[in-house]
Amino acid sequence: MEYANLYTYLLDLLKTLCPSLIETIYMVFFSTIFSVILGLPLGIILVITSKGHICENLNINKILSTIVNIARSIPFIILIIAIFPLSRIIVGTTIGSTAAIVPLSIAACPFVARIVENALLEVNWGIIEASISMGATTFQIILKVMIKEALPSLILGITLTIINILGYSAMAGAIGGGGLGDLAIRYGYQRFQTDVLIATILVLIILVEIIQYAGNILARKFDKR
Amino acid sequence: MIKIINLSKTYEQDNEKFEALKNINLSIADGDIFGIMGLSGAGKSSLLRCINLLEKPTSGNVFIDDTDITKLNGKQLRNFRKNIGMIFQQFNLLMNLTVFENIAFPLKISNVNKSIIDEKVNKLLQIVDLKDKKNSYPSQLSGGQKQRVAIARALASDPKIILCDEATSALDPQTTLSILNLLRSINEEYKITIIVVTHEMSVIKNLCKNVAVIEDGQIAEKGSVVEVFSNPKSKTSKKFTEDIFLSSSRRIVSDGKLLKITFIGDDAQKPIISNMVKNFNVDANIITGNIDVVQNIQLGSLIINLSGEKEDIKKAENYLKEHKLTVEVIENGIC
Repeated sequence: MEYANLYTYLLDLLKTLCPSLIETIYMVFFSTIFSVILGLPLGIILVITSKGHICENLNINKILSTIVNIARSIPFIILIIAIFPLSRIIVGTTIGSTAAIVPLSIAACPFVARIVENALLEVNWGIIEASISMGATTFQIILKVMIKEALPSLILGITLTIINILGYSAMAGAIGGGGLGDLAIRYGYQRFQTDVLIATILVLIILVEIIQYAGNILARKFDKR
Repeated sequence: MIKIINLSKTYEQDNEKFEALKNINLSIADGDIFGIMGLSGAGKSSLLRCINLLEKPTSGNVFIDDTDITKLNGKQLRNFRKNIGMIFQQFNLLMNLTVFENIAFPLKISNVNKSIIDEKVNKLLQIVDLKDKKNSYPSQLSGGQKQRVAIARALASDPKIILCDEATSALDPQTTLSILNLLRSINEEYKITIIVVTHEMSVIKNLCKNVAVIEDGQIAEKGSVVEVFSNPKSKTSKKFTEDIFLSSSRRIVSDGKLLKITFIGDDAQKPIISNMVKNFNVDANIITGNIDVVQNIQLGSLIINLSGEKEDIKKAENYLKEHKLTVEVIENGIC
């Protein structure tokens, strides 16, 4: 291939990839935000209602824990289809990246809850006890002690969530969600354009690397232990 | 004034009941440094935690001044706890906050004005001698420095009482001493009542004015430190004060009577033993002796073996008792 040809070839490839990449980032970004908004409080409640913790309530704990386990055991591809009616109510359609955000957020939410739960359980009970002895309220203990102390683990957990959602988003693409997964299937699988498939994989690898790297740096910045 | 009345604590796990504290009655005067001593598992930590209700007593009352804290509701209790500082064996500092932020924490959660916080924390940093560590994180500090931060944090809300839960057990002897000195100066300067839970004899000896000995969830003995150490009555305090040579000296002596004599204060300087030997027809073989300083009072103990006629030994023993010495028969080879 000549130099000029290679240039136009790469430009074409980029033109094909770019809109899909933007769609993927759009889906992953908002799904992460919504899943954290839903999953963080859920994870906090799972911890503080557990045995011997600051708001022990074993009934609530058991109910929430069961819901989380059930939600986590449904395969994502089935969850998307099952959630179609909900997507239609919330965004008015079941097709496109915006519609995919609904099942992605819901699927990632119990995952986030468990990640948050694990991170918060790591916080030394002695520190919580010390803040109780200082007269801290439950809200202050959660916000200023537990979350503050667990911040590095929480950041790493959310990094893991983002990468997970990125993987799920490819599956959402398979049923009309758009994004890089959709691109890979349409070009690479249905039209046998292996180069597009490889380019997609390369972009995904780079994306995951960037997310993990940023997460690690951020976690280290907040970790003074 | 802290008054603990008929306090009991029972733990229940898998339908098995464990009585950690049984009917405890105790009063601690304002400005005291009070030690709660006991072997591990005796219930001393549970008792301390009942004073700020980190442990909820199963029954009984805890009065601090005139407030029965077991009757307070959630918000009242939270506010009341600000009068009681607490320090722990494992320091329990917030690892992701600086020294300054850690000390400021109790003030921040009480919504104290920022300029007041600055002023107060800087003063506290000076008291605990950590001005240069202001912006360090706990992981950069030594154990003793961490405990100093914890002490400053406990002082931040101007408490009337400070509870110390094995506060020096994770520190080396030298650092322990400096922490004890700091606690004593805080007690003297700010008249804060300090309650110390420990299994270390040196802490009680160097710091406390009064002590209670806990055995199996009950108070086995209480009184001033000098009283308890000069004339230990409970199993635990005897064990704490027992001379390390005692068990070996038991083996050395085959005949005669092995006595442990305890002197307090000036008696330690009088030649009572040599007078005894002169006046009665007995031989006194000194096995081991030791002079200890408890609360600035000399406390001597001497282990001697008396041999001679049974009658003479009896008279010699009475002579010692007449001079107000505590005489304890450890081994009697004569009968």
